[in-house]
Amino acid sequence: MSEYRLPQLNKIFIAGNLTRDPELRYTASGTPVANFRMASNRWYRSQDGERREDVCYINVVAWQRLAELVGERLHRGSAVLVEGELQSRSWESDNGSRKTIVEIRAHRIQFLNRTDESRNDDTYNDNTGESAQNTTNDTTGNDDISMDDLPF
Amino acid sequence: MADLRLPTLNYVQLIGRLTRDPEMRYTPSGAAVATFGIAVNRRYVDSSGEPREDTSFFNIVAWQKLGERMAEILHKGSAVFIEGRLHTRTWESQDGQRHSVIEIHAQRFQMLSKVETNREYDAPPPLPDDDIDTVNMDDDMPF
Repeated sequence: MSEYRLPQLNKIFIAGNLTRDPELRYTASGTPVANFRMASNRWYRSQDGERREDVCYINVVAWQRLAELVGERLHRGSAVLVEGELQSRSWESDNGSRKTIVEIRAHRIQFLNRTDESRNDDTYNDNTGESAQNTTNDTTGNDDISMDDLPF
Repeated sequence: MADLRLPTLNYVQLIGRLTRDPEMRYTPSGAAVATFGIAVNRRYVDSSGEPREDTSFFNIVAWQKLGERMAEILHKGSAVFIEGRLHTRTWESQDGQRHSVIEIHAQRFQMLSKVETNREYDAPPPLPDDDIDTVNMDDDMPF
């Protein structure tokens, strides 16, 4: 009987708006990296029939040419459709506790705001392959919490 | 030209392995919720051409029947395909600090580990023929 390897699958598609201007930086080796935070809204009906809104906030990181385009073209409030993969990063904070954040590593971003100078296809790809993982730690991320703290 | 609305789109697909057994809880209103962690590997070639591998860790939340089903058949180490959406949960701790955590709310899953059938002399456990569980979680979820 044949044996299978576990497929690698890690995909996210998310649409939303930037909650602040993106930050474009360069690593020590000169690689451009852009970070932004986006909000994605979802409407649903609660059990008592009320319409409610649920907002998901997520940090996005883009590398290379895609990072530069993000820095040039996107602003707080810009609408985007981000395709990419989810990644988690952990580090030890100054007080010794372990911090983890989950973020999206963008592979493709569609800029959804129509502007006068819009081209027909405002879609940009991260086709530069892999790049260094040495992003600076973003301490605005989420605290790593144990599931015992859940307020259920 | 007609105005367009921004699509409501928030869709995640992951394959990974459970880092711990699923834990079942019930909300005060009686809704079942299962939580567990998964590890997702990524192999890639770095800028110097070396093959590398890294692992990301995510928290999964599954409600109602889907959660019960997951807790029943998944265990630490099980390989699983999960489809769902990203969710930000925020709360205030007792010292007044705001915390937030990102988790994935599962909407569908497939168990990818084979079911062990070692006990040859017992009646073999029935193979789940409904490994693909689909529950529409969109309209009646408390979150």
